[in-house]
Amino acid sequence: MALVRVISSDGAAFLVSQRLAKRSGKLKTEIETFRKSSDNSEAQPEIRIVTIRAEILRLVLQWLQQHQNDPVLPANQNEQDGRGDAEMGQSQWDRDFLAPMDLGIVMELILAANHLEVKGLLDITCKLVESKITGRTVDEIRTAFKLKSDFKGNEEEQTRLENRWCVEN
Amino acid sequence: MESLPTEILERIFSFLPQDYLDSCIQVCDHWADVIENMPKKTMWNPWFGKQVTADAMLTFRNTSGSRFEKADDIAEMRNRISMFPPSERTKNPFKNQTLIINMKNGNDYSALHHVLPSFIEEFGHYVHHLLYYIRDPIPQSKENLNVVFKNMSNLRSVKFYSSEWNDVNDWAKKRIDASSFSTMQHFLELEFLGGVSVKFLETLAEVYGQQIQSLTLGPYPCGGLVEALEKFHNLKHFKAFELCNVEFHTGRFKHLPIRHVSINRVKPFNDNPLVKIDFIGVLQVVTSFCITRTQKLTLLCKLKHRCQDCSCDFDGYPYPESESNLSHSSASVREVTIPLSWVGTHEFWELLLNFWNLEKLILFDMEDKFQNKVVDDYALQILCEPMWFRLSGSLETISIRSRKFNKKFKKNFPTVFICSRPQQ
Repeated sequence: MALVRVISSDGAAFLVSQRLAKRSGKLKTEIETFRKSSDNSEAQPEIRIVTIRAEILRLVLQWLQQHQNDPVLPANQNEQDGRGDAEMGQSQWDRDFLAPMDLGIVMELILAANHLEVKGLLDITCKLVESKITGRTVDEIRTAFKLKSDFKGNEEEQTRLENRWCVEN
Repeated sequence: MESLPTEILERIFSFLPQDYLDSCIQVCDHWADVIENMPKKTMWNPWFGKQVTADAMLTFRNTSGSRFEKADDIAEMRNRISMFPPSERTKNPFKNQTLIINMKNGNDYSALHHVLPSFIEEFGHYVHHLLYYIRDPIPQSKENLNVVFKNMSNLRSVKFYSSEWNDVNDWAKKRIDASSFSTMQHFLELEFLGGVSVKFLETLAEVYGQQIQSLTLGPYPCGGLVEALEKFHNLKHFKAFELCNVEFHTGRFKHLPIRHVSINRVKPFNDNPLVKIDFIGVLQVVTSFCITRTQKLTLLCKLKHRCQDCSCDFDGYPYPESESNLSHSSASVREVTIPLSWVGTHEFWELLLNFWNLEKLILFDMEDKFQNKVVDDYALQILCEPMWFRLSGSLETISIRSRKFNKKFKKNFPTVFICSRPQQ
């Protein structure tokens, strides 16, 4: 079985099958580039991911492992309507996978899935964040996502005032 | 969250229903900028009569937000339902929710057609509000419609949408009969955006004339509307879009408990000499319809339909009401909505002076065409207009709704400008 060594930003190495790695658009490109530039067809590719730390990379690979038999979706599929396969439902495994993660980890996972071009993981993590927005007030959203209002002066109140008619009967 | 790239934020926001985008835009400038530049979410905008395409064929909304679902099969639906909070799942998974059956813009009609009967069979009695997009490519029959309504014993409102007049008219004639609604015990609201025939309305009145409290019509042909509406004895809200009928002057609705009249985009049937509508004529028609119990009037008409040759001549135009009667009947109106473009015309002030007890005036930028400065100028013009001070002491608020008024929301949201009555 052909393998590839994927190295995280903090130096941790993960040895995974190339078949599995190629489910990531980014890793697939890297492997193919390596093949073209290498004289030795048996050589084992080594890919450094300088933006993803080990803990997050492990989670991505774990998700890929679980979904290795899923059809690979093009990165731009369903982007027109903004809904990807996350809309089509998550598996129980996905829900269990995401359940223990705090929001910080989820954010890192989103960035990793985006960087590695793993659309399925990107969709379910984005959907998870969406679910943490839905049903909350503006202040609750700011608290949950550690965001500060950067509206100046009474701009925020003005904003509310200007949109009040939207909810008027 | 701030560190997420724009495309990721867009992806997250794309899952959000419009209601929560409205909230998210207030969170911070960065979010507002991202949302402003996103394509507008699917929605029906009744003010402008535009139907934005929707891919979601079945849509469920709950009180805490919306879940947009694509129904490929009933198993998928059940799977979705299993994700609802247990409290909602065990008792009523569709509590206070809206089921949208979009037969027009969905991509996979066969999938919907396949899932619908079994879905309605299982969950129909949970559905309170039904939105039905009419222009479906599936050869429909009355039996099909009965399938849709089957088990919907708790249905409270039905909205039939179509952008084409003939769609609704033909469809209603062919596919709706009394038996289609026979299971609805709490049916109160009915909307047809697209048009219905007189005969259909009469049939509906015979079955549900005592029940329906809110009725909205799309383009309506001349003749018979008064008679048909008279049979809705509990009608409290009446709205008409693209109205082609001027029968309202007769005052025959006075026995109806109508509280809210909304006339949107009155326009004439040019080929009917009896319905030669002009600008003032439209005002007369509508204001005379404001019977004493009506408290809100929404009037969105287009100036371009003004008849050039009879701006002040009503000969041949059937208005039995006198001026005094007109003024008297308008006295109960508390709120008026009219196009922003009317500001600056003499007729605008003439209209306002008819409403002695007007409390709120809403000016709507119907065509979404005004620039920021123009809207500003209109606001100033109102405040500086001497006739403003001649209005009744009751007028407290002017609300201008235009997308062009505020930079932060100019792309996504109409905005409101509220100015209080100036100190005299």
